[in-house]
Amino acid sequence: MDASSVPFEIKEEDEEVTKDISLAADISVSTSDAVAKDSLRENLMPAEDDDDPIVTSFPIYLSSRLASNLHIFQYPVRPNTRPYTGSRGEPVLDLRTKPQSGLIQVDVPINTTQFYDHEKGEKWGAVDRQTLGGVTTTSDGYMIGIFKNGELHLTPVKGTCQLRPSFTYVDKDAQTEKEIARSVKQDPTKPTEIRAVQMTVKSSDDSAPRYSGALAARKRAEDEEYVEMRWYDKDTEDAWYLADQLLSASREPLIPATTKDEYIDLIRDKI
Amino acid sequence: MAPKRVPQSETPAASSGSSGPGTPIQPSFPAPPARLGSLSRPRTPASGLAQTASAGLSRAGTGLASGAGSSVGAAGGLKFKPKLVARRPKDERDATAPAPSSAPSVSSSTPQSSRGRGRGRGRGSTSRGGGGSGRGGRVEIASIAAGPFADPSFGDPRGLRGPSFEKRPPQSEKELAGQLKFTMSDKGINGKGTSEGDSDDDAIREGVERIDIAKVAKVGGANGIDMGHYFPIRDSATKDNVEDGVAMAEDLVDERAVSAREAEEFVGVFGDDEVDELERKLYFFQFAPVLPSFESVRAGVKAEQRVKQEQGIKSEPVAEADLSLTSLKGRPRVPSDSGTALSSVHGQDGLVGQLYIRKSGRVSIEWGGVEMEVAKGVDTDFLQDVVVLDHADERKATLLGQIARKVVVTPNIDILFRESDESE
Repeated sequence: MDASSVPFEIKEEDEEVTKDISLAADISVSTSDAVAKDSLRENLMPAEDDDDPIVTSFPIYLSSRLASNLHIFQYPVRPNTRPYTGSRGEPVLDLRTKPQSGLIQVDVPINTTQFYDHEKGEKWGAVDRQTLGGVTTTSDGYMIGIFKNGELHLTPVKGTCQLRPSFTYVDKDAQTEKEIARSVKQDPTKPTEIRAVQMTVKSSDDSAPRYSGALAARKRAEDEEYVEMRWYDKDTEDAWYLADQLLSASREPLIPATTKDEYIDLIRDKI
Repeated sequence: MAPKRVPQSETPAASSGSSGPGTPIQPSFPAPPARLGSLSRPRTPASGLAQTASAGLSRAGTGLASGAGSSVGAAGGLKFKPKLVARRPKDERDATAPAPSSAPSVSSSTPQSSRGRGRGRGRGSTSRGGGGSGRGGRVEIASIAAGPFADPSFGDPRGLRGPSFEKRPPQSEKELAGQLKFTMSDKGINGKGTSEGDSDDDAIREGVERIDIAKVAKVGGANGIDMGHYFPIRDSATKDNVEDGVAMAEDLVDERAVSAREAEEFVGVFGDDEVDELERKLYFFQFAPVLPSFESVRAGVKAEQRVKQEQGIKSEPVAEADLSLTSLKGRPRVPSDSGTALSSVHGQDGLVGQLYIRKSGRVSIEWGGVEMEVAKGVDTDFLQDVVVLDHADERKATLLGQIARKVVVTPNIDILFRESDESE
């Protein structure tokens, strides 16, 4: 027999009580209570409630086809009224990543007709593009959702990256000046980018001082090479094709594998 | 208009200039205007000059004290008499203020018609299925609230559409040009993300980017499902206020940006978009890091069997399963043993829950048996793109589109605990 039959009746009384109380309080409280009680009656189909009936519902599908490729690029310095798209004449020109380190660099065009200092531009050889850079981080629970035909399809996000202007040209400039100064004194040594250098003392045993933590990560990142990627703008065939991939591959219902109690435990453990 | 001060003794030199109210402003000076250096000028013409100067000045507006810029003092030198200019009443200030529509080349270089142009084809929308042709002309929203403390529910899409729609373009043009003018000179002060972001480019390039559709409550078409039904005002009392709100909107042109932002707070979680608008956008969902998990529908189908312990997502085989499509079996009655079939969210495709929208606009999600509350997230002003990075043979990075809105989903703890208690 349904184990919830006894508490079932009790709940109905509670429902009336709470309804009276909640008249003075927030209405939504009572509806959620009512919904909760209703949901126990049926298989989690929140029943219509007089106060707040369900008007429409969308089935939610989980999609994993792009789950390991989906990223969110945030441009904190750029208003969302001016996206980097070809339709606005400002498409992303180039994209480079360091897959292991999660570094991303994006080249975007600069408008050199106005508000552009040509003098400085030449000094830094910036030409007509600007490089934005950032690191990718991963997070749980982020998903991108799209509605299609009355269905909601969610795809988990692999990583988020905040792209800010990177002033490597200034670094280069500064470094060039240093090298010029240095080469005046001696033969030009091998010019490299500014890198972390490990100072070691030769020793016979294995306990050479090593990097740890952030410094090691940085060294790893520097050692890694950038991988060039081809950029496909929005509103291209490729983009449309991929957008369709956001839809779930299957309409089969998935079987829940966590009870409410277990879920409570999970939440508690997580915290 | 207060009568101008006509000098009692009109000097012949000044007579033509200071007679009657309708005469041209420019008085005829007998000599070059008095300067500080010309302290030796005879008194009479100077005083006549002062009088005409004052007459000319007073003609410029009402309430102007016709003090002269300088007047000859008794000693023969110039005495400093500052003009006392009274503040003109608002009417007059507005009347004489340059009309916004006459804002010159600033707006001419940004043809208003281009605003309607679907330049960003489906800007802010995914270009999925159907060529993603954004319905071009996204007209930005006019002021729709009577200030930040307007009735919360006033942001009713139904009230916004209809009458206010027609009014928007001309109103927007006017205020747009006005704002353009404003922001050109005072960049950043008008910090409400409407046009100040474009102020630089607007002067240069054609095509003014109006407010992104995602940012403010949109105008939906008259066709299609009226999503306004799904996100209606909270109670009938506010319905009347909506009309008032629309009427008031036109008075509050300058507060449009502020109001639009405030209004957005109270619009439904997904905005008052019509269904077809809903389908053109990318939504960012933030779920709790720990979610009820699912087991594979068919063993071996899922390729990935990663352990996601750190994510806190465990899944255990369920004793019974109900595969009916409409009702997702939420609560496995029998607590299961720790299973061996570990699967992650990442490997799965299929139906996992339902999104419910209630009449009040409240949205909830039922996910794997757990009821969750859905709320509108804080939207950002900066650009957020959804990009697919593919490191396979062909290294491709593809832009799918901008994030339109952010949605936050949290488990409904009350229900969770209550049901949990009762099931014991």
